[in-house]
Amino acid sequence: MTTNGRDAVWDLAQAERTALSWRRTALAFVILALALVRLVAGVGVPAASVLAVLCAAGVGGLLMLTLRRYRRTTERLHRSEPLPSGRLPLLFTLATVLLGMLALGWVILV
Amino acid sequence: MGRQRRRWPRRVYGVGEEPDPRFSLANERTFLAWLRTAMALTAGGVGLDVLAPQKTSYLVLAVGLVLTGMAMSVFGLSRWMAAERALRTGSPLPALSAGALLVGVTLLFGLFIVVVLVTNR
Repeated sequence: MTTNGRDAVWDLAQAERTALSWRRTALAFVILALALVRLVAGVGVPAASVLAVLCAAGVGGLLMLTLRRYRRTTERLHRSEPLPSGRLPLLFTLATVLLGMLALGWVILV
Repeated sequence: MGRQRRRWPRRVYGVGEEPDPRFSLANERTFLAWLRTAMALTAGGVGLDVLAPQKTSYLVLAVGLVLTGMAMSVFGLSRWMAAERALRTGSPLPALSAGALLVGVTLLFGLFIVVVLVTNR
């Protein structure tokens, strides 16, 4: 385990690629949320404003969590400790499903 | 080891031993790639609906794409768990199973879209 951990420190690009992957995914949330807000704005501006605020808060929060995860990942690699667990993957999955439900609502109702 | 005990999910972190962190990171990236694919399907569904909101064939396609996207994101998470478990126990990685089905469904949608575009219904 120790040798593995030490190897991984020399291969910090791994952690960096993973962090970029998280960020790319969060950006995909931003794009989809923006598109949905823009579409909803065509129906009603107040509803779109509420949606925009909620999406900004949610996606902003997720983005902050990805930054924290990267920091923790590199710290723990240096200390040869176990990596962060599956809570953020769960949150991201929930966010994807939530955006999917919003999209479904828009497709069916409007 | 307090941090160890609080790691979620127990089903994954309760078994085996710590794998090479690089494998865990690669597993994480694969999970994120599934999520992004799911988002692309969702965006595709919304886009189709914007193209022709009045046509039933487009509506069916749009709903199908969004539903497949949602299924794909949940599948991505469950596959991440299964793969992480396999890494910890040293067993072979899980088969694509439901993933193959999802990819097949996506291909069918692609075919359907081509047919709808060509026949313009």
